Amino acid sequence: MQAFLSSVETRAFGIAHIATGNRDDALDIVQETMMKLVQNYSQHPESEWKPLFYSILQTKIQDWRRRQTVRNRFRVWFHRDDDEDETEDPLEQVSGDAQLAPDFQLENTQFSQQLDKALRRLSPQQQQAFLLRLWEGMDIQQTAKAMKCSESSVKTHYARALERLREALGDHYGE
Amino acid sequence: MANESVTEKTSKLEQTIKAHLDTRAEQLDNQTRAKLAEIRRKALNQPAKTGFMQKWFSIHFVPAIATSFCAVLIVSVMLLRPPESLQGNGTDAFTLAELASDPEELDAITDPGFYAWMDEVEVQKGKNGAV
Repeated sequence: MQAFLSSVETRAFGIAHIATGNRDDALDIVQETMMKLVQNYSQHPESEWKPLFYSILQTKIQDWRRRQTVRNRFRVWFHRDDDEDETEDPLEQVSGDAQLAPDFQLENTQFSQQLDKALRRLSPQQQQAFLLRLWEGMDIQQTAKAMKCSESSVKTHYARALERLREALGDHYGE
Repeated sequence: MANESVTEKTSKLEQTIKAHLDTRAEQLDNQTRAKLAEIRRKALNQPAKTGFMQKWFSIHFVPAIATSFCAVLIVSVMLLRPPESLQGNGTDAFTLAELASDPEELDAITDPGFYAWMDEVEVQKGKNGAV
């Protein structure tokens, strides 16, 4: 289990960070995911850990999104007059390259900025399918298990995500 | 040709994105790495929920409690508001059902003389009541 968690923790943090745009929230999500996996599924066969881990991770990210939506509704409700420019979309609020810079010591290229924005603009399912398939290297079956949907849905989400990213990043990869 | 071109571009895009994300993960700052290691240790040091009792409770206890609650609720509602079939004329229906279940009684209630006798009894009751 130790080796498994070490192998996935960085990418899990990356996925949570892309979804939340906030380092501390991403760390909390990874912590809750690891805790639940160890507590409830450590006796399961090792081959099941990866889809289970990412399934829990995605559930935690969804919970975070729901909490953010509720929090933002209250924020909008109570500060309607004060913060007229404040957007209701939690992802719009947390997005911003300044938040990423301290966490990942990256060179601040134009591609990096565009990639962050493009990934955040994907729907949660598209983001999930794309990152699990491409970055985590999970096959369609494992991804479907992690996302709790059909294999054809995974293919559709992935294709749409790729199409949207191609549209958004077309100018930045030497087209 | 156009499709081929799109596939090539897409493939190149996928490779570029993957390489970029991998670089990010490799360049993760030490503070975050340390925090992740701490989280992992904390997760591994907690006890796993694998005990028989916990499994039994999770599988049986909640449905058992729910079923008991529903049963108590139904009985309470029935006690507070008995069905109409058990009130007033409903009892006659119950008595008839009881009579019909016994072959001897069934013979009695299928005999027209029985109903003539019942009418007489009713008439007699009416007279007594009027008095």
